[in-house]
Amino acid sequence: MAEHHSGTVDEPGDPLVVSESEALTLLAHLVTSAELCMTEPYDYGIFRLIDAASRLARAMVARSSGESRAFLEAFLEEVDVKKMWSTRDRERYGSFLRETSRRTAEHLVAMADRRTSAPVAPDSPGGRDAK
Amino acid sequence: MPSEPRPGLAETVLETIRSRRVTRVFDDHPVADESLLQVLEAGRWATSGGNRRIHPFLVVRDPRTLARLRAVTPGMFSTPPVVIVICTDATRAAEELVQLEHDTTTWIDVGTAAMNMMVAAHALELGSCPVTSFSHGAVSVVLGLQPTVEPELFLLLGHPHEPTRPVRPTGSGRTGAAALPPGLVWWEQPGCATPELIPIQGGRGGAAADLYHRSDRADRRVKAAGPRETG
Repeated sequence: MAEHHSGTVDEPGDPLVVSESEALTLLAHLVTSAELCMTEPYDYGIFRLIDAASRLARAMVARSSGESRAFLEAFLEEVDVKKMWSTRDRERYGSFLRETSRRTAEHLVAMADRRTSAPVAPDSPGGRDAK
Repeated sequence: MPSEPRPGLAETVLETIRSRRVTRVFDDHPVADESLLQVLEAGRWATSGGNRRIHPFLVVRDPRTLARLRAVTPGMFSTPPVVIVICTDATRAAEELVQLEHDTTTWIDVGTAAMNMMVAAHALELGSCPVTSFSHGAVSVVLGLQPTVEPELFLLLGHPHEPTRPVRPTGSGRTGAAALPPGLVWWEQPGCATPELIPIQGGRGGAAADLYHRSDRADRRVKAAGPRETG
Protein backbone atom coordinates (compact mmCIF):
# COMPACT_ATOMS: atom_id res chain seq x y z
CA MET A 1 0.00 0.00 0.00
CA ALA A 2 1.21 3.51 -0.84
CA GLU A 3 0.47 6.37 1.50
CA HIS A 4 -0.10 9.81 -0.03
CA HIS A 5 0.56 13.24 1.41
CA SER A 6 -3.22 13.57 1.66
CA GLY A 7 -3.22 10.84 4.30
CA THR A 8 -5.16 8.43 2.11
CA VAL A 9 -3.88 4.99 1.34
CA ASP A 10 -4.00 3.20 -2.01
CA GLU A 11 -5.69 -0.07 -1.28
CA PRO A 12 -4.79 -2.90 -3.66
CA GLY A 13 -7.21 -2.95 -6.58
CA ASP A 14 -8.47 0.60 -6.08
CA PRO A 15 -10.02 1.91 -9.32
CA LEU A 16 -9.49 5.54 -10.33
CA VAL A 17 -12.98 7.01 -10.34
CA VAL A 18 -12.48 10.74 -10.99
CA SER A 19 -10.81 12.30 -14.02
CA GLU A 20 -8.36 15.18 -13.80
CA SER A 21 -10.91 17.67 -15.18
CA GLU A 22 -13.55 16.45 -12.74
CA ALA A 23 -11.11 16.80 -9.87
CA LEU A 24 -10.12 20.30 -10.98
CA THR A 25 -13.77 21.29 -11.25
CA LEU A 26 -14.40 20.10 -7.72
CA LEU A 27 -11.24 21.83 -6.54
CA ALA A 28 -12.51 25.10 -8.04
CA HIS A 29 -15.86 24.60 -6.32
CA LEU A 30 -14.20 24.01 -2.95
CA VAL A 31 -11.81 26.94 -3.22
CA THR A 32 -14.47 29.40 -4.36
CA SER A 33 -16.82 28.10 -1.66
CA ALA A 34 -14.14 28.81 0.94
CA GLU A 35 -13.85 32.36 -0.38
CA LEU A 36 -17.62 32.84 -0.16
CA CYS A 37 -17.71 31.52 3.40
CA MET A 38 -15.90 34.71 4.41
CA THR A 39 -18.98 36.79 3.64
CA GLU A 40 -22.03 34.54 3.38
CA PRO A 41 -24.32 33.43 6.23
CA TYR A 42 -22.64 30.85 8.46
CA ASP A 43 -24.95 27.97 7.59
CA TYR A 44 -24.12 28.31 3.91
CA GLY A 45 -20.76 26.72 4.68
CA ILE A 46 -22.46 23.51 5.79
CA PHE A 47 -24.46 23.50 2.61
CA ARG A 48 -21.40 24.14 0.44
CA LEU A 49 -19.66 21.11 1.95
CA ILE A 50 -22.53 18.70 1.48
CA ASP A 51 -23.08 20.12 -2.01
CA ALA A 52 -19.40 19.45 -2.76
CA ALA A 53 -19.87 15.89 -1.50
CA SER A 54 -22.82 15.56 -3.86
CA ARG A 55 -20.74 16.82 -6.79
CA LEU A 56 -17.91 14.42 -5.93
CA ALA A 57 -20.30 11.50 -5.68
CA ARG A 58 -21.81 12.40 -9.04
CA ALA A 59 -18.36 12.46 -10.64
CA MET A 60 -17.43 9.14 -9.03
CA VAL A 61 -20.54 7.10 -9.61
CA ALA A 62 -20.05 5.98 -13.22
CA ARG A 63 -16.57 4.52 -12.68
CA SER A 64 -17.01 3.13 -9.19
CA SER A 65 -17.16 -0.53 -8.30
CA GLY A 66 -20.54 -2.17 -7.90
CA GLU A 67 -20.75 -1.77 -4.13
CA SER A 68 -19.64 1.83 -4.18
CA ARG A 69 -21.90 2.62 -7.10
CA ALA A 70 -24.91 1.37 -5.19
CA PHE A 71 -23.86 3.38 -2.16
CA LEU A 72 -23.28 6.51 -4.23
CA GLU A 73 -26.54 6.20 -6.13
CA ALA A 74 -28.45 5.92 -2.86
CA PHE A 75 -26.48 8.84 -1.43
CA LEU A 76 -27.20 11.02 -4.46
CA GLU A 77 -30.87 10.22 -4.47
CA GLU A 78 -31.12 11.33 -0.87
CA VAL A 79 -28.67 14.22 -0.78
CA ASP A 80 -30.11 16.04 -3.75
CA VAL A 81 -33.40 16.34 -1.91
CA LYS A 82 -32.21 16.85 1.63
CA LYS A 83 -29.23 19.15 1.09
CA MET A 84 -31.68 22.03 0.79
CA TRP A 85 -33.15 21.40 4.21
CA SER A 86 -30.60 23.63 5.93
CA THR A 87 -32.83 26.65 5.40
CA ARG A 88 -36.07 24.90 6.33
CA ASP A 89 -35.65 22.41 9.14
CA ARG A 90 -32.34 22.50 10.99
CA GLU A 91 -33.18 19.57 13.27
CA ARG A 92 -34.00 17.23 10.39
CA TYR A 93 -30.98 18.53 8.52
CA GLY A 94 -28.76 17.61 11.45
CA SER A 95 -30.28 14.14 11.60
CA PHE A 96 -29.70 13.68 7.88
CA LEU A 97 -26.06 14.75 8.15
CA ARG A 98 -25.39 12.49 11.15
CA GLU A 99 -27.00 9.51 9.45
CA THR A 100 -25.14 10.21 6.20
CA SER A 101 -21.83 10.39 8.06
CA ARG A 102 -22.56 7.08 9.74
CA ARG A 103 -23.50 5.35 6.49
CA THR A 104 -20.45 6.77 4.70
CA ALA A 105 -18.18 5.47 7.46
CA GLU A 106 -19.83 2.04 7.26
CA HIS A 107 -19.24 1.91 3.52
CA LEU A 108 -15.66 3.16 3.90
CA VAL A 109 -14.84 0.47 6.44
CA ALA A 110 -16.61 -2.29 4.50
CA MET A 111 -14.77 -1.43 1.29
CA ALA A 112 -11.41 -1.15 3.04
CA ASP A 113 -11.93 -4.50 4.77
CA ARG A 114 -12.91 -6.14 1.49
CA ARG A 115 -9.89 -4.78 -0.39
CA THR A 116 -7.33 -5.71 2.24
CA SER A 117 -8.65 -9.26 2.36
CA ALA A 118 -8.85 -9.71 -1.43
CA PRO A 119 -5.94 -11.20 -3.42
CA VAL A 120 -4.19 -8.70 -5.69
CA ALA A 121 -3.52 -9.46 -9.33
CA PRO A 122 0.09 -8.49 -10.18
CA ASP A 123 -0.92 -6.52 -13.27
CA SER A 124 -3.87 -4.69 -11.73
CA PRO A 125 -3.54 -0.91 -11.27
CA GLY A 126 -3.62 -1.36 -7.53
CA GLY A 127 -1.01 -4.10 -7.74
CA ARG A 128 1.36 -1.97 -9.77
CA ASP A 129 1.02 1.01 -7.46
CA ALA A 130 1.33 -0.99 -4.27
CA LYS A 131 4.70 -1.00 -2.54
CA MET B 1 -56.96 63.21 -11.72
CA PRO B 2 -56.28 59.48 -11.63
CA SER B 3 -56.37 57.78 -15.01
CA GLU B 4 -58.72 54.89 -15.69
CA PRO B 5 -57.16 51.51 -14.87
CA ARG B 6 -56.50 49.37 -17.95
CA PRO B 7 -58.82 46.37 -17.83
CA GLY B 8 -57.07 43.25 -16.56
CA LEU B 9 -53.60 44.80 -16.44
CA ALA B 10 -53.21 44.88 -12.68
CA GLU B 11 -54.40 41.33 -12.18
CA THR B 12 -52.18 40.02 -14.99
CA VAL B 13 -49.12 41.73 -13.60
CA LEU B 14 -49.85 40.75 -10.00
CA GLU B 15 -50.57 37.14 -10.89
CA THR B 16 -47.31 36.95 -12.86
CA ILE B 17 -45.45 38.31 -9.85
CA ARG B 18 -47.25 36.01 -7.41
CA SER B 19 -46.72 32.83 -9.42
CA ARG B 20 -43.02 33.31 -10.22
CA ARG B 21 -40.64 30.95 -8.45
CA VAL B 22 -36.90 30.43 -8.53
CA THR B 23 -35.81 27.62 -10.84
CA ARG B 24 -32.61 25.92 -9.73
CA VAL B 25 -32.49 22.95 -12.10
CA PHE B 26 -32.95 23.35 -15.86
CA ASP B 27 -33.45 20.91 -18.71
CA ASP B 28 -31.36 20.84 -21.91
CA HIS B 29 -33.77 22.75 -24.14
CA PRO B 30 -32.27 25.97 -25.51
CA VAL B 31 -33.84 29.35 -24.94
CA ALA B 32 -35.25 30.80 -28.16
CA ASP B 33 -33.49 33.95 -29.31
CA GLU B 34 -36.76 35.84 -29.41
CA SER B 35 -37.51 34.97 -25.77
CA LEU B 36 -33.98 35.86 -24.70
CA LEU B 37 -34.25 39.24 -26.39
CA GLN B 38 -37.55 39.91 -24.66
CA VAL B 39 -36.01 39.09 -21.29
CA LEU B 40 -33.09 41.41 -22.01
CA GLU B 41 -35.49 44.13 -23.10
CA ALA B 42 -37.32 43.78 -19.77
CA GLY B 43 -33.99 44.42 -18.05
CA ARG B 44 -33.44 47.44 -20.21
CA TRP B 45 -36.71 48.96 -18.95
CA ALA B 46 -35.76 48.63 -15.29
CA THR B 47 -35.22 51.71 -13.18
CA SER B 48 -31.69 53.04 -13.18
CA GLY B 49 -30.50 55.70 -10.74
CA GLY B 50 -30.16 58.94 -12.67
CA ASN B 51 -30.77 56.92 -15.85
CA ARG B 52 -27.03 56.29 -15.88
CA ARG B 53 -27.20 52.73 -17.29
CA ILE B 54 -23.84 51.51 -16.08
CA HIS B 55 -24.78 47.82 -15.94
CA PRO B 56 -24.22 45.94 -19.22
CA PHE B 57 -25.78 42.49 -19.59
CA LEU B 58 -23.28 39.83 -20.69
CA VAL B 59 -25.02 36.83 -22.26
CA VAL B 60 -23.22 33.49 -21.89
CA ARG B 61 -24.43 30.52 -23.94
CA ASP B 62 -21.29 28.56 -24.85
CA PRO B 63 -21.51 25.20 -23.03
CA ARG B 64 -17.81 25.14 -22.19
CA THR B 65 -17.94 28.62 -20.69
CA LEU B 66 -21.10 27.73 -18.79
CA ALA B 67 -19.40 24.64 -17.33
CA ARG B 68 -16.41 26.73 -16.24
CA LEU B 69 -18.68 29.34 -14.73
CA ARG B 70 -20.45 26.68 -12.73
CA ALA B 71 -17.12 25.41 -11.39
CA VAL B 72 -16.41 28.78 -9.77
CA THR B 73 -20.01 29.55 -8.84
CA PRO B 74 -21.06 27.50 -5.83
CA GLY B 75 -24.53 29.06 -6.09
CA MET B 76 -25.16 27.39 -9.45
CA PHE B 77 -26.78 24.03 -8.75
CA SER B 78 -27.12 23.05 -12.37
CA THR B 79 -25.96 24.33 -15.73
CA PRO B 80 -28.62 26.36 -17.53
CA PRO B 81 -28.55 27.04 -21.29
CA VAL B 82 -28.14 30.78 -20.68
CA VAL B 83 -26.53 32.90 -18.00
CA ILE B 84 -27.03 36.65 -18.13
CA VAL B 85 -24.24 38.29 -16.16
CA ILE B 86 -25.27 41.73 -14.96
CA CYS B 87 -22.04 43.70 -14.72
CA THR B 88 -20.91 47.11 -13.57
CA ASP B 89 -18.87 49.00 -16.14
CA ALA B 90 -16.53 51.23 -14.15
CA THR B 91 -15.52 53.16 -17.26
CA ARG B 92 -19.09 54.11 -18.00
CA ALA B 93 -19.66 54.83 -14.31
CA ALA B 94 -16.74 57.26 -14.29
CA GLU B 95 -18.12 58.99 -17.35
CA GLU B 96 -21.42 59.35 -15.49
CA LEU B 97 -19.59 60.72 -12.40
CA VAL B 98 -20.76 57.76 -10.28
CA GLN B 99 -18.74 57.12 -7.11
CA LEU B 100 -18.84 53.35 -7.20
CA GLU B 101 -17.03 52.92 -3.89
CA HIS B 102 -19.80 54.81 -2.06
CA ASP B 103 -22.90 54.59 -4.22
CA THR B 104 -25.02 51.61 -3.19
CA THR B 105 -27.84 52.59 -5.54
CA THR B 106 -25.89 50.84 -8.27
CA TRP B 107 -26.59 47.52 -6.53
CA ILE B 108 -30.27 48.41 -6.40
CA ASP B 109 -30.17 48.99 -10.15
CA VAL B 110 -28.71 45.52 -10.58
CA GLY B 111 -31.60 44.14 -8.53
CA THR B 112 -34.32 45.97 -10.39
CA ALA B 113 -32.92 44.83 -13.74
CA ALA B 114 -32.75 41.24 -12.48
CA MET B 115 -36.29 41.37 -11.12
CA ASN B 116 -37.70 42.75 -14.36
CA MET B 117 -35.97 39.98 -16.27
CA MET B 118 -37.19 37.27 -13.89
CA VAL B 119 -40.79 38.42 -14.18
CA ALA B 120 -40.50 38.63 -17.96
CA ALA B 121 -38.92 35.18 -18.09
CA HIS B 122 -41.80 33.78 -16.08
CA ALA B 123 -44.31 35.43 -18.39
CA LEU B 124 -42.49 33.72 -21.28
CA GLU B 125 -42.73 30.35 -19.46
CA LEU B 126 -39.02 30.27 -18.73
CA GLY B 127 -37.41 29.57 -15.38
CA SER B 128 -34.84 31.86 -13.83
CA CYS B 129 -32.63 32.09 -10.78
CA PRO B 130 -30.57 34.98 -9.44
CA VAL B 131 -27.12 33.96 -8.20
CA THR B 132 -24.56 36.04 -6.35
CA SER B 133 -22.60 33.19 -4.76
CA PHE B 134 -19.61 33.24 -7.05
CA SER B 135 -15.97 34.22 -6.84
CA HIS B 136 -15.73 37.59 -8.57
CA GLY B 137 -12.05 37.12 -9.34
CA ALA B 138 -12.51 33.62 -10.70
CA VAL B 139 -15.50 34.65 -12.81
CA SER B 140 -13.51 37.53 -14.27
CA VAL B 141 -10.85 35.04 -15.34
CA VAL B 142 -13.36 32.58 -16.83
CA LEU B 143 -15.15 35.32 -18.77
CA GLY B 144 -12.00 37.26 -19.69
CA LEU B 145 -13.43 40.46 -18.24
CA GLN B 146 -11.52 43.72 -18.32
CA PRO B 147 -10.44 44.95 -14.86
CA THR B 148 -12.95 47.78 -15.21
CA VAL B 149 -15.87 45.36 -15.56
CA GLU B 150 -17.25 43.79 -12.39
CA PRO B 151 -19.67 40.84 -12.49
CA GLU B 152 -22.46 41.60 -10.01
CA LEU B 153 -25.22 39.04 -10.46
CA PHE B 154 -25.93 35.99 -12.59
CA LEU B 155 -29.40 35.40 -13.89
CA LEU B 156 -29.71 31.75 -14.82
CA LEU B 157 -32.25 31.25 -17.57
CA GLY B 158 -33.79 28.18 -19.14
CA HIS B 159 -36.64 25.73 -19.07
CA PRO B 160 -37.38 24.21 -15.66
CA HIS B 161 -36.35 20.57 -15.29
CA GLU B 162 -39.53 19.94 -13.34
CA PRO B 163 -42.78 21.85 -13.08
CA THR B 164 -42.64 24.62 -10.53
CA ARG B 165 -43.45 23.41 -7.04
CA PRO B 166 -46.64 24.95 -5.73
CA VAL B 167 -44.98 26.72 -2.82
CA ARG B 168 -47.36 29.30 -1.46
CA PRO B 169 -45.88 32.16 0.52
CA THR B 170 -47.60 33.27 3.70
CA GLY B 171 -50.65 35.31 2.84
CA SER B 172 -51.03 34.02 -0.71
CA GLY B 173 -54.62 33.60 -1.77
CA ARG B 174 -55.67 36.42 0.54
CA THR B 175 -56.29 40.01 -0.28
CA GLY B 176 -55.83 43.34 1.41
CA ALA B 177 -53.97 43.48 4.73
CA ALA B 178 -54.49 39.74 5.24
CA ALA B 179 -52.24 39.06 2.23
CA LEU B 180 -49.30 40.64 4.01
CA PRO B 181 -47.33 38.31 6.28
CA PRO B 182 -46.83 39.40 9.89
CA GLY B 183 -43.98 41.82 10.40
CA LEU B 184 -43.51 42.66 6.72
CA VAL B 185 -45.05 46.09 6.65
CA TRP B 186 -44.58 48.91 9.11
CA TRP B 187 -47.08 51.68 8.61
CA GLU B 188 -46.06 55.23 9.16
CA GLN B 189 -48.46 57.09 11.42
CA PRO B 190 -48.46 60.73 10.38
CA GLY B 191 -48.13 63.06 13.31
CA CYS B 192 -47.39 60.31 15.80
CA ALA B 193 -45.30 61.82 18.57
CA THR B 194 -44.69 58.67 20.57
CA PRO B 195 -42.28 56.14 19.15
CA GLU B 196 -44.20 53.18 20.53
CA LEU B 197 -45.21 50.20 18.46
CA ILE B 198 -48.92 50.38 17.88
CA PRO B 199 -50.39 47.12 16.64
CA ILE B 200 -53.21 47.43 14.18
CA GLN B 201 -55.56 44.83 12.83
CA GLY B 202 -53.87 42.78 10.15
CA GLY B 203 -52.04 39.59 9.45
CA ARG B 204 -53.65 36.28 8.90
CA GLY B 205 -57.39 36.04 9.16
CA GLY B 206 -57.58 38.98 11.52
CA ALA B 207 -55.62 37.10 14.16
CA ALA B 208 -53.25 38.80 16.55
CA ALA B 209 -52.05 41.92 14.88
CA ASP B 210 -48.46 41.96 13.75
CA LEU B 211 -48.52 45.10 11.67
CA TYR B 212 -47.42 48.17 13.47
CA HIS B 213 -47.63 51.89 13.21
CA ARG B 214 -44.18 53.35 13.27
CA SER B 215 -43.51 56.99 13.84
CA ASP B 216 -40.26 57.24 11.93
CA ARG B 217 -37.13 55.45 10.93
CA ALA B 218 -35.18 56.61 13.93
CA ASP B 219 -37.66 54.82 16.13
CA ARG B 220 -37.10 51.62 14.18
CA ARG B 221 -33.39 51.85 14.83
CA VAL B 222 -33.99 52.35 18.53
CA LYS B 223 -36.25 49.30 18.69
CA ALA B 224 -33.77 47.20 16.75
CA ALA B 225 -30.99 48.17 19.13
CA GLY B 226 -32.88 47.01 22.21
CA PRO B 227 -34.82 48.60 25.08
CA ARG B 228 -34.89 52.36 25.07
CA GLU B 229 -32.90 54.20 27.64
CA THR B 230 -34.79 56.79 29.58
CA GLY B 231 -33.66 59.87 31.40
